[in-house]
Amino acid sequence: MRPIGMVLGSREAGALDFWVAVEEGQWVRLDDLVYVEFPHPDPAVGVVRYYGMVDQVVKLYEGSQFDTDVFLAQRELLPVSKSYAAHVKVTRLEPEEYLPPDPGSRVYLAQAEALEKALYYDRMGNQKGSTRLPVGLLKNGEVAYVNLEFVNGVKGGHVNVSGISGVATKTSYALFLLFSLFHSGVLPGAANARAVVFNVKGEDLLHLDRPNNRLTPLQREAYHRLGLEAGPFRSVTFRAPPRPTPGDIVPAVESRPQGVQPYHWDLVQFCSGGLLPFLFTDRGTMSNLGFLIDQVTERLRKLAEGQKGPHLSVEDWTDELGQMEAGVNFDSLGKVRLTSFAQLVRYVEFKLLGPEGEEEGKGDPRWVARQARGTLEAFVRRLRGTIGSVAHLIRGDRPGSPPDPLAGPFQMHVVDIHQLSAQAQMFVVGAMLQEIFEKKERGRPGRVFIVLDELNKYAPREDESPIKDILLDIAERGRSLGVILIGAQQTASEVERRVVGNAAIRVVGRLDAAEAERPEYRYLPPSFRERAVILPQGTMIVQQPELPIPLPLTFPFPAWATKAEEVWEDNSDQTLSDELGL
Amino acid sequence: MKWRLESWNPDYALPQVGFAETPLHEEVKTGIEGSAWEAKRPARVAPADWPVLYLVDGRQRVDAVVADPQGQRAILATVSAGAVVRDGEGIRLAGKPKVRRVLLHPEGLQVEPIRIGDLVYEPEAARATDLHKLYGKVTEVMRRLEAELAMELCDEGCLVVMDGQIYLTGQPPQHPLLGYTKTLSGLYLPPEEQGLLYQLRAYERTPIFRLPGYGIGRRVDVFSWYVKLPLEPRAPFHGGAGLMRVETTVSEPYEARRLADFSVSLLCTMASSPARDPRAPQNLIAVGALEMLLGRHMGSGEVIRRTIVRTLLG
Repeated sequence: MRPIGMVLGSREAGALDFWVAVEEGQWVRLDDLVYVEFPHPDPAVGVVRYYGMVDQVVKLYEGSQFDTDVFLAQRELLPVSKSYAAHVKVTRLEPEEYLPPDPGSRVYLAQAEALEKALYYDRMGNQKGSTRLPVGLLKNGEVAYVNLEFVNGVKGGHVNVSGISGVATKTSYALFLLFSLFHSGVLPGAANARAVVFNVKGEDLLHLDRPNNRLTPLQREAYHRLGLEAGPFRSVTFRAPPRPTPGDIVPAVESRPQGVQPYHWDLVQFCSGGLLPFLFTDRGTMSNLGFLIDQVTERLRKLAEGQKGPHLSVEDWTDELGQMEAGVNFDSLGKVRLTSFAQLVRYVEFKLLGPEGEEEGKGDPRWVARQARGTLEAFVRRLRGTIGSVAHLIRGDRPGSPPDPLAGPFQMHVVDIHQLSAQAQMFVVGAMLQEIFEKKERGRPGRVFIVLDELNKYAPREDESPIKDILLDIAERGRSLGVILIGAQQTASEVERRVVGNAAIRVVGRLDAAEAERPEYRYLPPSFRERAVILPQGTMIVQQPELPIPLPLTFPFPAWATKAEEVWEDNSDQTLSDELGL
Repeated sequence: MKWRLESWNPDYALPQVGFAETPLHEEVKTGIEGSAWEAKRPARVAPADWPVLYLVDGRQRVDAVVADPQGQRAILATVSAGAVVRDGEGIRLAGKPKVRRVLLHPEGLQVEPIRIGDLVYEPEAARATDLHKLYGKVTEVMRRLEAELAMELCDEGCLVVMDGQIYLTGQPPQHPLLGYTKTLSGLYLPPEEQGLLYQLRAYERTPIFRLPGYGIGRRVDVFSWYVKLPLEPRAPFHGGAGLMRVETTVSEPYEARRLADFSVSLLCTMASSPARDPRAPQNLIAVGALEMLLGRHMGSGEVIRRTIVRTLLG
């Protein structure tokens, strides 16, 4: 073990923190792990060892009162004595005797076994074996672990990542976490685990199953040190919304011609799944509106009972003018057949406000549920407003094929929503989360990890929305059901407290200076908060429940392609002949 | 009458205390650098071209005054002497400073060393009729220690500079030795020559003069000269502020002149300012730092005093 200095006596040494004078020729950096040893006054106890992390390093000219002394010292007119001191925050004591270390006690750099003690790695395990999940590399090149049991819901669950866009690499880190979960061999039953990743920016995540051609040998080595094999995700399926054009359903993807399946809901799935509320993101603005949404959702659910889809047949649309305008067809029994979302909206409008063209028409009392006409009209206006956004996602002309992460053999489900309007994005996310949660409630086995960026949009601190309700449910009950949220946002201060508060693992990338001062980040010691403002890309600060201090770490460059031009093409003869069937 | 300030903080000793001529001035020999008695402005020597330099200084502290059952007083004192070296490697403490702890008592007493914790105060008899004089002897002990150190450091190719008059315990050294006095306690020059002191400008010196040792109770004759140190801002201070008397033990006038010329660059560059030192500009920057370092090696007076109390309480 490398001795780096001694506990100094010019400042107080405490049982929870102390200062170290660094010897000449030695060095110690922020985040370095050290330990100090000193004899217990009671010889029976033996040696006391404190482990800790350096959270401040300072140098100064001792006894120098003037700022300008530095110039005199440089001109060799003033002899100075340079002090190099480090402040250590204690992370662990062995035995647990809260004695301040004596000034003059030797301080060593913690490496290997001492480092594992300092960071409680030795406690990460259960009867079945180790629960050390590699989550990055510490500054000294050692592996940073978190206890898997705080990720997968055993003792705690959920991960929350904060950081400003473009610099904080939130999504990259969330994906790296998934990669480690699926490929490190630490997660029991990893093969049954599923992950849903929403692609919200460009087509970045549509190449996860392909190797990255920009990966250097050095970066491969980093994966190797983490106990991972550098490579793409091995089991991924990609879903994208259809192009909003008539005719065949083609996924709206530019950079990947093959391997992406389109998704949409048919009208019957929409009605029987009770997905209507996810079209309304501002339910909180009118309390009556919320009631009416629930009422109409129930009616639609009843309407869809026993129907196979994709179209929806209705018997009680008696408004011929409205039908004509909507251009509906009839089935062999004379029922009206709704084959598009716009027609469904027309039908709902008829049920609520009565026939087309009547100024004071009467809606169906079972639908209206004694709501004032103003409320009904507000509802209809809002519903009509969604047609443009979701008509290609909710349709009655083809059997629906909504993304279902729990079905099929694939581990990762990348669901592209980047081209959708904000309203359609809310709908897709809400509908999927609800379905996953309901299935898990019904006892579907295996864990589901949900990666969702922009939590401040889906679970804002101020407003109410159906998606927020689901996210709250996931945050509060999901852990016991095996639904784990890996959520990210630019500003944790704008996200519902309970969503962030329930995350056992909190990660911070580069933060905005004003944001770093908010109470949401008080769990970070001041030195870390200050540093969060200057974190470079690829460096994160990870806080976990078992450790009294956060871990600053770097994570390796993605081994999977993050854009089309990063895709490594296998042009070997063997592959070509396989592809051409030779 | 236009009054001007003295540059030192009045809490300290004053830089110029003598008003009357020293009776010695008859013996003082001028005219060594020609007959003209006028200010000399030697060429500046850049710090990069200085020789290896040792600046020697001492510190003293009375830790306690004790008395035996008969009322005989003695002094427990700590004295130290150290040097700062400036060579190609930078500027730093030249080795560990010398520290002595003495039990200073009047002659004619049989005194055992006193052990205070880990410290041992060695007895030393001094001719003193009262406690004030005994106090004064502490300085003498320090001077001896400084002289010892200076002699050890004097070597080929380097220049040793002592804070204070050159005090020798043995034969003068073979190598150049400079001493400077911050306080001008005596006026060694006749009145007409003395006048030049108040016309000197910064970076100027008087011509050298010979100062005999016997008249002032010293074993050695020295060459001496006055240097005017820079003092910024100049306006509030009187013309005599910033003067320093320098002396050397070398025997050859040409060597003395060379040293006098160099001393102007050395002392003016090292001069401190009233903003950083109450005894500016005479208390040189490096020497101020050396005093602080010596204080560290002497140990905390307060801690020592408490240990003395504990020890004497038994």
